[in-house]
Amino acid sequence: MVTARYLYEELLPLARECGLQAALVTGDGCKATFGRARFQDVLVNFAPRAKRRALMRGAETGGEIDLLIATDCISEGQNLQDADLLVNVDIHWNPVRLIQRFGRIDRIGSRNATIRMVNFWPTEDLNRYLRLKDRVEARMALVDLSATGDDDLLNARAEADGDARWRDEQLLRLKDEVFDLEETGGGVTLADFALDDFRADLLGFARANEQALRDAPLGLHAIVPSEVEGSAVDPGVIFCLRRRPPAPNSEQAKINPLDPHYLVYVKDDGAVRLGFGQPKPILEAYRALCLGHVEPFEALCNAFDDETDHGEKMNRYDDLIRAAVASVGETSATRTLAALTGSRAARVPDGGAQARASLDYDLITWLIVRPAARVA
Amino acid sequence: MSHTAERLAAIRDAVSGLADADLADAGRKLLDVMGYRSPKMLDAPTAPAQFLAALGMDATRFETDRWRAVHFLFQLTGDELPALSRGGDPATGESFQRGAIDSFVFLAIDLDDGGWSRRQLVAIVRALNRGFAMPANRTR
Repeated sequence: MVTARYLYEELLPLARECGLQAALVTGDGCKATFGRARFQDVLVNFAPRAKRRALMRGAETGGEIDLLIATDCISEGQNLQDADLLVNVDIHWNPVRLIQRFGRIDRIGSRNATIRMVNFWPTEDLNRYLRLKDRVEARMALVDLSATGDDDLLNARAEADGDARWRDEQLLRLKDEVFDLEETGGGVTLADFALDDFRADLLGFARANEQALRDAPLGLHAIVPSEVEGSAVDPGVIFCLRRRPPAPNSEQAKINPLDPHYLVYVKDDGAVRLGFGQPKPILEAYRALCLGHVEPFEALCNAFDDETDHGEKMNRYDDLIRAAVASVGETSATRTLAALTGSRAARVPDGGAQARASLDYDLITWLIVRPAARVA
Repeated sequence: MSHTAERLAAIRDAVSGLADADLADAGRKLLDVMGYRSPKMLDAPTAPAQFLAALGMDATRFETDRWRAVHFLFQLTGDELPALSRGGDPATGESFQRGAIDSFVFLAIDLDDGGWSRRQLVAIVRALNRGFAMPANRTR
């Protein structure tokens, strides 16, 4: 917080010189050279498009904030995709935090051609920093363990070690690239990946329509245009599959938090755009494609009927679902293997509980994403 | 006991079976006659580069151009070990710290027909062991 305030005070004269509006957001309070210096106002004026300022009554629309200096109090849950550059001044030891920060601007709906993240690494030799950090963490872990009176000291310690090792690897990787954390697997389920954001959205709907959802047949499908606000997603199909039997398995759940359900987004050419290891971007796409649409897109439905002869000729979609199932099998095996490197206590699930390519799956739903040209 | 002679014959058959086409099946069969079996099998990638990449291991540390394939046979854990102990203890009591091992991973590597020294084979096992969090054993 002290750093944020210091940066703001030091950069303010430069910002003025360049004709830029600046703001500061910390848990303690806000400052701004444009608009009201209140948390929500500052964020709205920093990202007026993402926050839909134009629709707000009484909003000041005569300018916007160009430079925002903030603490981690805005690292989660905010849509700030008007911005195209994120600078991490302090490197958090947990890579999830860094990716989460970047996630504020790396979102569906961004109109920027490129978005960048700049990291100020604490030292040129990151390995030295990590070794120092590990020593500190090991001490802290020991204190934790003795304080909790956990009987299973060795296992708890092994798990903590596995997590720490995984974090170090991802932090080193972040030096050279920005990647999707959910791609990395490693069998580490971090609470940070929780899909609570979506669960909150769904809860009300699920309660109000519980019976209808229970009665819904398998294989429900819908067709939507690929355009979403300001951008487009690749045409293809998003499948939701359920492995058989759907009996819960704790090891498999570490590989896929949604197990026994598997989400796969396959492009029209059969290439997998997003595998089940990336539920968050799939659900984000789903939300962007579907939210607010209650009526079918008639032109798309007609085109689908023509293409498939009213559902008689489904070869193309058969190929896509086969690609989805193959991807589920491959990703599941690779992630299981990766988990064995992370913790001594890691286990391969029994064959019957794994999501294998040779397994039978129930098709719960499928969402067909068509290019807009076909809407006409 | 006659069991011993039968078992030896079965092991001999299984070893000669290793030369057959499917190394994964033959490898599992050999371990099975020795009393090691587990439902914890995995359709892991068999291409050496992909397999090592999934483990986050540097493929250049191995002569992977001389590996034809890697097969993940199974993992043996506490779920299976008590059952196995009826047929014969895994002979690890003296060479390993028993308490420090939760499971074993069994791999089969299909190596090319060139010469392989014991030193080279041991080096592969050592390097693989460093990749896994538990001991890995390989059959060929």
